[in-house]
Amino acid sequence: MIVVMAAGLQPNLTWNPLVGMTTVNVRIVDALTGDQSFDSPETLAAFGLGLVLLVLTLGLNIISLTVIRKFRQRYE
Amino acid sequence: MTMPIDPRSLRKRKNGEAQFKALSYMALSVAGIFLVIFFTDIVRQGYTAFQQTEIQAQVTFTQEIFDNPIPALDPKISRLVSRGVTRVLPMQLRENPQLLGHTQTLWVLANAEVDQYVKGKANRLKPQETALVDELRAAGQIKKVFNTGFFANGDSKLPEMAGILSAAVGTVYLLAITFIFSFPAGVMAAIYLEEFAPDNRLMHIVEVNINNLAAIPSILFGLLGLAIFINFLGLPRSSALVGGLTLALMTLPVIIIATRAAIRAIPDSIRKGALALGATHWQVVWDHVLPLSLPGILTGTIIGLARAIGETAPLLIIGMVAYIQDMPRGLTSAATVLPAQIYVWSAESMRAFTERTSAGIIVLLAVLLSMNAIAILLRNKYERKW
Repeated sequence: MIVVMAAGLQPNLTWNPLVGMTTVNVRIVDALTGDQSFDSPETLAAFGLGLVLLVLTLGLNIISLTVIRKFRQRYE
Repeated sequence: MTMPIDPRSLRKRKNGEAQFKALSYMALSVAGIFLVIFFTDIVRQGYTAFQQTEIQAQVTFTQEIFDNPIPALDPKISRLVSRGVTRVLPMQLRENPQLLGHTQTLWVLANAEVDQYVKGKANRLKPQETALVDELRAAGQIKKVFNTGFFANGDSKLPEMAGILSAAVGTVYLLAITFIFSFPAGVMAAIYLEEFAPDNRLMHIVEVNINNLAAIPSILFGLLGLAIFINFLGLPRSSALVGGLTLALMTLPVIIIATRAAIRAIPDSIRKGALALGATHWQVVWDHVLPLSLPGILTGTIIGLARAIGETAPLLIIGMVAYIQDMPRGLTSAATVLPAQIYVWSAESMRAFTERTSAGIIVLLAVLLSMNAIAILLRNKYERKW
């Protein structure tokens, strides 16, 4: 939520952390907080962005659970 | 025989430890300093909102008050009072019809600019108006009182009339729905996963997914709520029901994970002992595992609900972050919640909303702090060592 308040809406692809940028989260909020019908391209784009976020976090979680399973020590 | 110790190596190791300790201490201090800065800033900006400026006014109640109450006030101060009196004065007359034709001395709300001036904050009063306010203040006709309106009113476009009541009621509604839907389902799912589920590939996938659901950005639950509850099931937008269901989905994995951890902490000897006495698996769970793990389950639930209280992003998607003035009249009427109210106020352009925003944050923080304190107290009181 904080990125919605703090990050901007400029889609700059840059490594410079001082340049205005946006995040997937902000784009989703921006696309869905307006008046549009449900099957408009904006709404569908928001769902696509949501899918990207879901897949990214799923990948991270699979890695983390694999690491936990591999290195968990059992002392008893 | 003792081993000879090289004093140089010993000194080096002790220095290393001292450095590591200092570094850890510094990390803790940085976190503490940020917390202190955050709290002082919020409180410094917000504490003034708990007081509100009122002006003493002579009000003559006439029939015209229903059309336009402004002439009923002394023209000298009518520029200083809140436009909210146009609503309050007719209401007073309607409730007490015997006031008709009488003149009364009332304390009425000052408008936001006067309020900000009295509190020593930035305002847009003209010089002759500030002079008038100073004069009235010296005469005791302007005073600051405890801001009951902040807790008794709903949202308003007039900062001096805006309050958190409708948002607070909405929060209670949402929390109740979230609890009703997520607690039983979460606990049952955790029991199945810990006590009954076979250890196979499918369960591994389920586990990964539950962990994933607990970690994904909360906005995705908003997308889910929008697609399923509003678009597919056709439940009313902005309603407490949709908001509560969405937050229930978000809280569910948190409750499942906390419950599983609590159940796993019960030693196996308890289960084996009960089984050896002839109890069925279900009896073991119901009579022994559940009662023993209940404090841990409740702690996890409270923490999950506390997270749900502070959530705005999914509610933004399902239309609960909006200008909603009235208390929700049922589960399907439009509602808003505390963090959403804070978000709406933070986007307002009038300066007087700044202190309301901070005051809202203070209230929300107080609620969250007490919930987490209850969770910790529960844990400390019932924690058992096996």
